[in-house]
Amino acid sequence: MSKPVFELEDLNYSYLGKFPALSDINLKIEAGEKVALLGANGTGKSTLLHILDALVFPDAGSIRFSGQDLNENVFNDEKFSRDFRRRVGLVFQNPDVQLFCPTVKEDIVFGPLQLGIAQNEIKKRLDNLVEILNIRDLVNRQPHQLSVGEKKKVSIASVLIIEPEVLLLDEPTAGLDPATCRQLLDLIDDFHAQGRTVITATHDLHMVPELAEDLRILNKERTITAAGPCKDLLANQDLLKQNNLVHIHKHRHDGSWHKHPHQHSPS
Amino acid sequence: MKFSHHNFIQRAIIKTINFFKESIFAQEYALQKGFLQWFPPQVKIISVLAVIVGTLLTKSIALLFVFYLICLLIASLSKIKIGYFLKRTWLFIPIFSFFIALPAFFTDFNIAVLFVTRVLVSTSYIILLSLTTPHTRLLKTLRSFGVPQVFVMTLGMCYRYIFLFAEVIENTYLAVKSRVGGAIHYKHGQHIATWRIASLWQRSLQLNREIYDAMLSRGYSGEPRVLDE
Repeated sequence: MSKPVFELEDLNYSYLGKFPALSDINLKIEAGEKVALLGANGTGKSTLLHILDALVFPDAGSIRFSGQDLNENVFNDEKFSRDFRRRVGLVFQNPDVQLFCPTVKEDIVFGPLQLGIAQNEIKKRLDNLVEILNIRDLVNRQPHQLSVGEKKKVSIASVLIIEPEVLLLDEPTAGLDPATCRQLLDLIDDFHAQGRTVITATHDLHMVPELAEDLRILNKERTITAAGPCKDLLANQDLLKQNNLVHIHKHRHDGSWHKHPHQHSPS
Repeated sequence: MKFSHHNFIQRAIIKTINFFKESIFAQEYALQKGFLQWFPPQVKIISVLAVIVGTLLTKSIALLFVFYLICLLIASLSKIKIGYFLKRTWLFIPIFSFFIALPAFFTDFNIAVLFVTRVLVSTSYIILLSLTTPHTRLLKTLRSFGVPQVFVMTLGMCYRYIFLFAEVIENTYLAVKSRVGGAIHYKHGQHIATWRIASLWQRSLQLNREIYDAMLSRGYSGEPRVLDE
């Protein structure tokens, strides 16, 4: 039986050693899963993604990637570091963070170049990606000239070109118009259909059924409070209410207002 | 837009932002089919450097003015509006030379004029180069001259994020203005400006950390590599 992609045990993390960001996280993610980390603002979703991408390391507890412990020491081994970065890709919430090169093209090819992928192969992948994402007219433009949706597409392209086994996405649909949103969701679906693992941090209940098959819900204590199939957890209104995740819709019927929680699955 | 006499900070913010925005439009000149745009960037950089060295070596003010007239002629042939070019050039002259040379005007007039003219000619040619060459091609050319890639990448990133921060400054300014209105006491204005400077500093530090994380995440290990083209 293959080892889980990620296995976190009693993991704790705090900023500057005094502001708790994650508490007693236990999490196991198998290869090929499509998981969403769902939680209200400030529950530690982004921090958890940064830990999964080995950008920060826990204060206590452990994190294993394919059975290998992740800590600062193992990343001193250049071969391991390169292998890990090839296998795991993170799309940041703010695309401006990810697009730091003078042109879109340089941004997209930055990752594979650093990872030592052959130049011919990079050019082939670039050509393929710009076609799929329909961004050929953007490649020679400067990132500051792009709209939010275009920036998001390019930042996703800059990670997909690495062809990672695991894709980590931080609020991928935030601030996007419906058409761009649909395009990104289809792209994530295609990526997952190739047998790859997708882990998405979001607080957007509307998007969860499309982004994930399984859920891990984070609460305000910054720990995982529930885990299970998407359809089961989204049907649990009490759980969603406790974790500040229920949408309250307000409608006007026949001249009077009325409110009700938004349903995300048939109850 | 009209400003009150006391509103120096407001004026400075708007003018600085406009300057950066104009720089975006300046890329349009680089894409036009003019005289200088026809030359490869390598030729332009070497020629401009040669003119600057010549400018520094000559002591003839008349020759410097000839250099300057040639510069204006080339700008015109390169389809750059002379008024726009003069505005951009003369913005830097007081900053870099006039105020420095001001005392010398009263002691040794010729030396002061020579100094200011040298700065005028050098900055004019540099601005001409930057207006007629897309900055991405300038950066690539620096690489071909053997400038270390990490230095070129840092320059490119500076350029990229200047625009981002110009937007942040403008949005913050508008957000403050929408809450406090147009007319505020200048002391209050100074407090707000101080707070904004501190806030921008903090945001730049945060962005710095996040960008480095984004680089690490995509395999950066301290030696940037680029695509062979």
